[in-house]
Amino acid sequence: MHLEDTRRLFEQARERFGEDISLSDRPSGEGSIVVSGPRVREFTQWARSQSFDFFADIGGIDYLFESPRFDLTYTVYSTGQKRHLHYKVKLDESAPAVDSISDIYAGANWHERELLDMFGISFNGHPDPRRILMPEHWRGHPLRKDYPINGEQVQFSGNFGDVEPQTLPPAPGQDAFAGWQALETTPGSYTQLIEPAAGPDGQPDADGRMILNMGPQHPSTHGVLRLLIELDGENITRTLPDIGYLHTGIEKTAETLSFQQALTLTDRMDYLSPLGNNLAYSLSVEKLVGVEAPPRATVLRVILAELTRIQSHLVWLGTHALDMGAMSPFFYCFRERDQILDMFEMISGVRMMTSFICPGGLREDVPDEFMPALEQFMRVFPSRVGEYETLLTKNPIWLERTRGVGRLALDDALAYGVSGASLRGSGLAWDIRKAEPYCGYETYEFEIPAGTHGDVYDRYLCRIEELRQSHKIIRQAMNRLEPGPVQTNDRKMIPPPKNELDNSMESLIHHFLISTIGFTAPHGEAHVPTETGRGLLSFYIAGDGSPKPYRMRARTPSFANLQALPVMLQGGLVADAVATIGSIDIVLGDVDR
Amino acid sequence: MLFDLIASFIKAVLVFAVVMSFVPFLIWLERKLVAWMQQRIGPNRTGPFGLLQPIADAVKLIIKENIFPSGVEKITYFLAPMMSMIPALAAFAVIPFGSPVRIMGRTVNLQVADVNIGILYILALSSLAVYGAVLAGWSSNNKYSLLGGLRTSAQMISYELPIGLSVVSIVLLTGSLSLNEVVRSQASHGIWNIFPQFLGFIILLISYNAELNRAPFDLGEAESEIVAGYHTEYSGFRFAMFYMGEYVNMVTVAALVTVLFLGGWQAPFGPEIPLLWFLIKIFAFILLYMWVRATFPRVRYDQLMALGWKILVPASLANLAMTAVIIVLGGPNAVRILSVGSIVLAVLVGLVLKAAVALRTKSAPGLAPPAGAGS
Amino acid sequence: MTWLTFLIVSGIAVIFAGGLIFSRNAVHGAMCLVASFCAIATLFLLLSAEFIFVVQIAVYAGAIMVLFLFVMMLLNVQGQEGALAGRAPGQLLVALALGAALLGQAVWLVARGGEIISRPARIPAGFGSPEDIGTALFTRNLLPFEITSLVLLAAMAGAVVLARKAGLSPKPNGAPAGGKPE
Repeated sequence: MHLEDTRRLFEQARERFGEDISLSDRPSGEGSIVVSGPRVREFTQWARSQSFDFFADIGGIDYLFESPRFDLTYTVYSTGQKRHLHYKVKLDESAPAVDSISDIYAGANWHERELLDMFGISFNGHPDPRRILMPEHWRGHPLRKDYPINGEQVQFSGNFGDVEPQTLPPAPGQDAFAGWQALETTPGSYTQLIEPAAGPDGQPDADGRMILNMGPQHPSTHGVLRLLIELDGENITRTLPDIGYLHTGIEKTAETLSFQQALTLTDRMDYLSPLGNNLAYSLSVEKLVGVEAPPRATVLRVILAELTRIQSHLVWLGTHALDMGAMSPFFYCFRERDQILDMFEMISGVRMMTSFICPGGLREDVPDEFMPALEQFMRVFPSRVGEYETLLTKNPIWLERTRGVGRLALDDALAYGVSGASLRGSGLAWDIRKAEPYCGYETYEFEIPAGTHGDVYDRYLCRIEELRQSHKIIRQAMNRLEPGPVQTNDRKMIPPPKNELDNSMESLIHHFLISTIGFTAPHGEAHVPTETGRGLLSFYIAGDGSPKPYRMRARTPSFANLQALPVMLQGGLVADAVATIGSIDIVLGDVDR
Repeated sequence: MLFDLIASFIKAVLVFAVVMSFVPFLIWLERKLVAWMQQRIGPNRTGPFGLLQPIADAVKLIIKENIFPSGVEKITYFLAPMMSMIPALAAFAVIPFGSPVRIMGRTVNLQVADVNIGILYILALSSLAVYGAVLAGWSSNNKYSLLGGLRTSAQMISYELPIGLSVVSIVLLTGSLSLNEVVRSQASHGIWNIFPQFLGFIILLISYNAELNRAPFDLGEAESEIVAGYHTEYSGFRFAMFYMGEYVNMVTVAALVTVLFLGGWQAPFGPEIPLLWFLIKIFAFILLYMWVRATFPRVRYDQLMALGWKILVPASLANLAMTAVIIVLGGPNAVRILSVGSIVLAVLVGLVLKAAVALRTKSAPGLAPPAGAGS
Repeated sequence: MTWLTFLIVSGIAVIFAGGLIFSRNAVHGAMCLVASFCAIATLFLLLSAEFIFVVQIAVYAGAIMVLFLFVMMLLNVQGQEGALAGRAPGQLLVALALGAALLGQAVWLVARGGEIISRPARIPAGFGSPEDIGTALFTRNLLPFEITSLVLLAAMAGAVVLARKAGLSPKPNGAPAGGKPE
């Protein structure tokens, strides 16, 4: 969305909100509307009425030395008008609090909990104000800039008694955890939220209800997801997801690394879609710095991103089928996935954590063997998709297991911010590649499949079709690939070529600086939405003039998609839970970051 | 008397040894076969073609520490694996695996015990086999195990019905409950029971897949749902007993189906070589089960129950009714008429099912034409 | 030989019957009952009633007791020893009287037992065979047989009615997708 659009929207809103809103030029090129704290609920309602139906994210930035200190960045999308809107709330340092919008957009629930957890911002009227990623007994709010990061021993439940909780000494006359104290929950309270419904010892109570703890070590939760499921017989009556077991603090770690180094963290977020994450990150950084990748790099980026989407979908398909007891498709899928990973290894030397797409273009050009290998893959792949479909698509058992199971209504999907094939299965053909194209996707011919029922089967059909569409895109991209540089020639970001170093002292110094310190980004914020295999992925990056990201907020698709899981599971069976978890295709590294 | 005793003893030991030595071979076969179907190599490190792999596994399991997880009900936990294995082995006692041979001037049946109620005996033992899973699930003090035990027991009880009803049709054809008689009657009819009892054969095939707890009906131990179910908490030799029980059961079922429907030890063509044809038929069956396992996704619990009660039981009742009527009215031609009627009935049942499925499919999806965000 | 088997098997039956009564754990009790049933089935075998032997195992040990166990697990009755606490007044006296009567009967049988047991058994050929039992059931005792099946049907209907809890509507999510063709 352009700054102009934001301004127009701002003028409209002005009539209603008057002096309570103002215009900001951040993020760069898009701008945002700054809303005064007390009226944020009202503004959100207004935004929703302006057809911004898809809730994406609330990010937080701690501008420690500014006043007001905290920036909350709300992002909502209009699927009909194909644009998105940022609006901000600035909060004061002392007892930061704002009204919860989780009853307007259901998906805000977890995002607000994350802000509570990471920044200590309390949300008035939030139905479930608990920490979400950090352990319940954690002290402090890690993403605050004044949080100590000096190698303290970390207090986990295993060494709870041995380690002193690490906190800064509270500033004079102020408790560092004011606002949090009132919400503090005692260890173990998590289970108490749901446990009273059951009898003692977790055995079935008088109504025959039983709490089943699924995960974090369960073969079908696709990682360390924990679900507390209340069962009536085998019917699910309530579900409570518990996440954070794979929380690695990527957003915090990125703040201590240079832009080039932080790139490698994005590989490890959604580890099934590393190049997709690289791309999203690089686009945001490029926008922040103000450079653009050359054409060859862009086309190669499309090829690599689509290959990544295919291999990510293949893992999904294999494990999804495996969850349902069909063993063989798993191995067929991995056969093709290995072909793709071989190509990744060819270009970068690494099979998964490639970090190949980087700010400014690509790490280097692809080797000569890459295109023949790609051609080979492109030839066999369509028939291989047919193979998977033969095993599953019309198999009566598969149909029985997936049709009508795990249904998600479109309204719910939008309010929860469910994106990717999980949203499209519910009937809306909304894909960032079409809605807000990047990397020239608007010039490729492809279609966005959509389902009708929002059940597991429709999501399955959508992803299978996406395999074919990605294949189609790669074919077009291969045809338009022309020789040329794969890195921008903007010296702000890219070191001078080797041959210059022998002749020019300045070049040598420049090369040295970019290699050791890194390139700097101006004061500002940038945000580019992209579509990975799992859905809407965007990095909200703030720069402060240093070579490190001041803040790197990752809006990950799995986090939002997982939040809608309890809605899908309601009334199903345990076996349906397995099918449904498989169908929303979450990666826990992407959820917890 | 003494001769019979010794002969019985030798037969019992032989059958036990052969069946038990089948188990590691079957495990190897299944792993290898499924691996080939899935573009893998399968075990190939231990011995030629990995043949010794199951032996190595068995040795590992046997010398493993015997663990009683805390909170288990010890006595029951200890007994459960045995209770799942013993009925499977005991059932093999009444299976005739060859035509009677003459040794030292006496006729010896190639069968451990020719009980005149052999069929009932096998049904009775298979109903006892439930206890292994139920008790294991209950005693493990684990919710997943409990769910697995409950699922397995409900499943096995339900599928005994279609099995029993299909077997009764065979009994009507044969006029005896002795398995030896069943084989002989197939010889005298000049046609194997699979033809006059085609529908019964299909029903038995499906039901025994469920009774054996094998994919796609392996709900009691569905690893992706309830984490191996009733044997989650088992390790070492006790786990091995569950594992062996499953494979012994498979051999027993394959042998039973061979006897009931495929003419037992008789040769379809060529000379009758003792044991050879019997073994070929058994293995054909086992391979079929393995193939099924590599192909299908797992059904859901309620769907499994619906399949049993709403499809298989009525179908086997229809089969039984048809068999009885034709035997009474058909006189000497009964078997021939049945051969036609049974296939017709099977096709009918298949068509009804297909229509039912089509009816449900009609109201269900398919992708909407690509729409939305412009192209 | 037969005597020896009889003694061993009936001993097992009695021991496990005792186990059923004295075990505090419901599931153990049920397992004792299964073992006792199996032993009694073996006694039928000694009496040449092979059919009854199989039926005893298949029906009692195999089906009925599994259902018992099923219910026990679902309701988790183990450890509910408090159920024993609520004794009716005079329960002990009645139990003692009945026990004494049973004991007297047993003593009388054993004392006069010689006559009964030494009477030569005249077992006709085919006694206890399935044909025999089938003929007996479907000719001479047809009416009681049909009445029994009616009673069982009524019991089954009653059980279904009792089991259908109010508000136990079909689950919303498991229903097939879509109602009407598009």
